[in-house]
Amino acid sequence: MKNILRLTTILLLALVSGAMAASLVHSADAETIHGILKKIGYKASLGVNGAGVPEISINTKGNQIVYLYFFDDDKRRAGYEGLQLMACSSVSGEVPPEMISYWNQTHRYAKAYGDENGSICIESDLDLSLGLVLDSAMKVFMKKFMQNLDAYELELIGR
Amino acid sequence: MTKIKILALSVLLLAAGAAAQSVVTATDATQVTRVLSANDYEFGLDAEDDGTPIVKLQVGDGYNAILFFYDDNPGQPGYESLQLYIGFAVDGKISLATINDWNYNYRFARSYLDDDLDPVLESDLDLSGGVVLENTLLVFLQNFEAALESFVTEVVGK
Repeated sequence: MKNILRLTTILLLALVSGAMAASLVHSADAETIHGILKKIGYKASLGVNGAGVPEISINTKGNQIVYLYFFDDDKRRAGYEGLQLMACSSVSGEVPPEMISYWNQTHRYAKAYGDENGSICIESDLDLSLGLVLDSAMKVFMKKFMQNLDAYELELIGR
Repeated sequence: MTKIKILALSVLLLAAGAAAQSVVTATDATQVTRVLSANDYEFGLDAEDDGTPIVKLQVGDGYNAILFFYDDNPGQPGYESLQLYIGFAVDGKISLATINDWNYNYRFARSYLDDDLDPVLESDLDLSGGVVLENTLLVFLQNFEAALESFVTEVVGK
């Protein structure tokens, strides 16, 4: 009888710990995201913008600065639901808009556009409200953005 | 004996809860169409020439979109990512400047002019980090429908 009780308790604990190990988030704070970026090997600095909203700057191997912006899409929920990675580069001469459109046609998970300063930018969004396993979602998000950043630099910026 | 019954029942309830909320890193057409059916989306299941499923569905105010499945990791079963796609035949009347402005102003989707100079709206969802499929798919669709609303107003309607 005691053995059955013990076995059942172990099963219960295993199930609960399994559920916790894969716990999902629907938002996150800046410190948590900063900590994950550092843990997976990025040189990241946490600061705040003029409106007091946190932002993270990330130095890439190619010396391109990537910014990570936070969006509070659901004010009822604590933390930030939207994350955005963005990098912009000024280019000598004009990048034909057809080329930017073609880039968007042929790449996934990011988009390119020209901004009002004449720079060409690349941007990618992650909606945490989807309900994600945060550490692994951040790893995938960063990996895909860095792959797209390489393609953007090669195909649009020309370096 | 009652204690055992209560514990056994607890295990079953937990297991059922875990199954309902299980984290997946890939999916297939059966799982996706089950979610679409349960949430009253109108859709039809089809397949590409190589057998990869595609779902044609109605989004927003009755617009015809396509959901593509991507087998990013052929070593693993299922499809690790999805893409929502919608194109509009407008006889080349949309400028690249309009497309650029839309990309600059909106999140969660990307637009471009295709080979026929028709505007396209696209969005990608990567499942490989781990998600609860139903919740994630529904938010993905809602984000796409919100992006589509602005796209129709600011790009296609111009």
